[in-house]
Amino acid sequence: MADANLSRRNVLILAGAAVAASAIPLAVSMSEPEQIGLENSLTDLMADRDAIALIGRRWMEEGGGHSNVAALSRRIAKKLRAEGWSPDAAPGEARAAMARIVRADFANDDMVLVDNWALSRSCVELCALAALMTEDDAGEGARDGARDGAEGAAAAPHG
Amino acid sequence: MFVDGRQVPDGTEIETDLAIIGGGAAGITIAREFASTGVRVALIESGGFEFDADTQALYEGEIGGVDYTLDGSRLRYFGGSTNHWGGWCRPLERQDFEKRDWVPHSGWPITRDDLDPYYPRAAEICQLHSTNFDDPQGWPTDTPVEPLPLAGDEVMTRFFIYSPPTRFGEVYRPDIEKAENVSCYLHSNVLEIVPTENAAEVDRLRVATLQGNSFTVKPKTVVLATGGIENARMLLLSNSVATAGLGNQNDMVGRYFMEHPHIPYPADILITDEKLVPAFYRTYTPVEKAVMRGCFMFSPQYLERTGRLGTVMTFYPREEVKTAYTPPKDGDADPDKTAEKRAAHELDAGILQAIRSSTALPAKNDTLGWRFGIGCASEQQPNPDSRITLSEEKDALGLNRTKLTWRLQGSDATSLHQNVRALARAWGGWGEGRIRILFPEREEWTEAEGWGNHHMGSTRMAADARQGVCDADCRVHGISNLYIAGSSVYPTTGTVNPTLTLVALAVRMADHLKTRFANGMPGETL
Repeated sequence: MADANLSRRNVLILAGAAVAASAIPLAVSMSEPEQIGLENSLTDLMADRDAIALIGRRWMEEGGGHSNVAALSRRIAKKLRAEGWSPDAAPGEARAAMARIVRADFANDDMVLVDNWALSRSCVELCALAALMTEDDAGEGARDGARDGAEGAAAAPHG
Repeated sequence: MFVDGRQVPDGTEIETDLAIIGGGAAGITIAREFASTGVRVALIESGGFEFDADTQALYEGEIGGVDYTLDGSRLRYFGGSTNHWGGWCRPLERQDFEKRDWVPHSGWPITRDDLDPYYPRAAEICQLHSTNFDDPQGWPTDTPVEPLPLAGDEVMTRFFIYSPPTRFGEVYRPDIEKAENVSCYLHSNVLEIVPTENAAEVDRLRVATLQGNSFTVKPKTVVLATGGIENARMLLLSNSVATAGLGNQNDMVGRYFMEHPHIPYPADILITDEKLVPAFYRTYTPVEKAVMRGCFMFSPQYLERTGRLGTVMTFYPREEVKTAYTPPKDGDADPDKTAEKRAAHELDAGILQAIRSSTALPAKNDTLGWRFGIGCASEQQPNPDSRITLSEEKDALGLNRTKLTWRLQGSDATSLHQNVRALARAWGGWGEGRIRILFPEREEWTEAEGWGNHHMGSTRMAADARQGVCDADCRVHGISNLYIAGSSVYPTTGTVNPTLTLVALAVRMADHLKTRFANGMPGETL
């Protein structure tokens, strides 16, 4: 019965984990220690994860978004690191780094439209990350097929 | 003094030095400038002191392009369209006068420097009580006037100063009444400006009333000041000698008609704290005797760099955005609408939380921010195919009615859309607000969402007679004693309301004409 109750998502996670286990030495050597729980560190930047997740969800529904937690985490973290951020940075520093990134996006016309709201691309990517994580938390797996593929496997050791 | 044209005996011939056709802002201004001079002035006005439906009906006509209201956008009685004017005043920008490589047919034959000496007098006539349009620190107020620190160099805060608004017909009626050298003929319609045989000089004006009597005015100099549509129509109607119409030897009369397309909802703003927006942005704000309002305009360097036309934007608070959605007190009959509103609220709340996570401070209570609305007026590119011609239909005086074919272009819409996008960059870069772009990109723009009742361009100024109808002095090319006053002479429109500038041009014209009369050359042959 328990096996019969396994969702498609869980099957994929298990499969991904198996692939990940075989890749652990490589993945561990390539990963940086702070990437453990990276997506949580990132979305903790936001005041209200559920509220901002809605923006990310809307963006993805409108066809603009990414559906990969690992890729999004890496992309956002890279930008933040360039601003001097690290996962153990004080909240104020993290906010300031994010603010600089958002301002730079607007200055560079790097905006995306969500229901016609002109928003910073980096901010919306963070919202999308929150949306994907909210889905994970809720056990909804509509996007898991895409996420739990090769990149999902590579991301498994980080999360 | 005032004369009821209906009482002038049929066939009367009135000699005068200066005939001014039209008793609106421009005509009254010029007449007042000549009060108590030795120059005899005949101010000829179609209406009386009050609105009259039969006279107003002379404005009706035919529409050929973008839908428009010919009779509803202007008023035909003493004071003209100042009788429904909103009073928004601001000079045109320096760049508005320049030839802009990215705006075909742009460039005035005068500069802002040429007009600067006349703006203060125009401000006085429009009862503004200040001419400080660009230096908010100079306002005499205890509260510093601090413009929003928007990011970048694309968007700038500028200020309108309000006229009460001055109803020229009421406020300046006593001046005209008292002026012994000024005779204002009411209920008197000019049917034709009749030139000499070679069409190089105005000989006389044929005038008639709706009651049926007619008379002639023999002027030395004529100023045509009947408004931005009627000026072109009157030149086209004056075709008994020059069959294409006066000043129309190059087929320029009536072309390049422009408005300021007004868009009621080009964008929305979410802002974290309404207190960040000084009161002067939101509404009419008194500063001593003057009343002003802040607006957004686009910097000359941005417009040049991006090849855009200008836009002016004002905004106003609409509603508070709280953490939780509050349904209307009386409920909403339509469940779909409720769901839509709830979804919109949730998105608003999410955006404000996102702002508060990075560029703004966290909310201290359950108010996350405010939603503001934006209104705007935009410049359109001069277009020779946007034009006034004569309709086959006749009015009550037997004159061909106006046919207006107003055209908007896709490039006008692109410019506006991109300007809203620039506003989004400026607000987002500042950090406390975000912009929702509601004015879409369009390849064509075939319907107007709104307009300003600003009629401009159809008798444009140009140094070269092949490029316009009148010269830098607003004298009609090829006619020695015919001048045009009003916004029909604007080669480009800028973005702000045209009245202050047309009054400044009228004062300038009065100075020019005074010099001519003083030099004894009111109607010299060109």
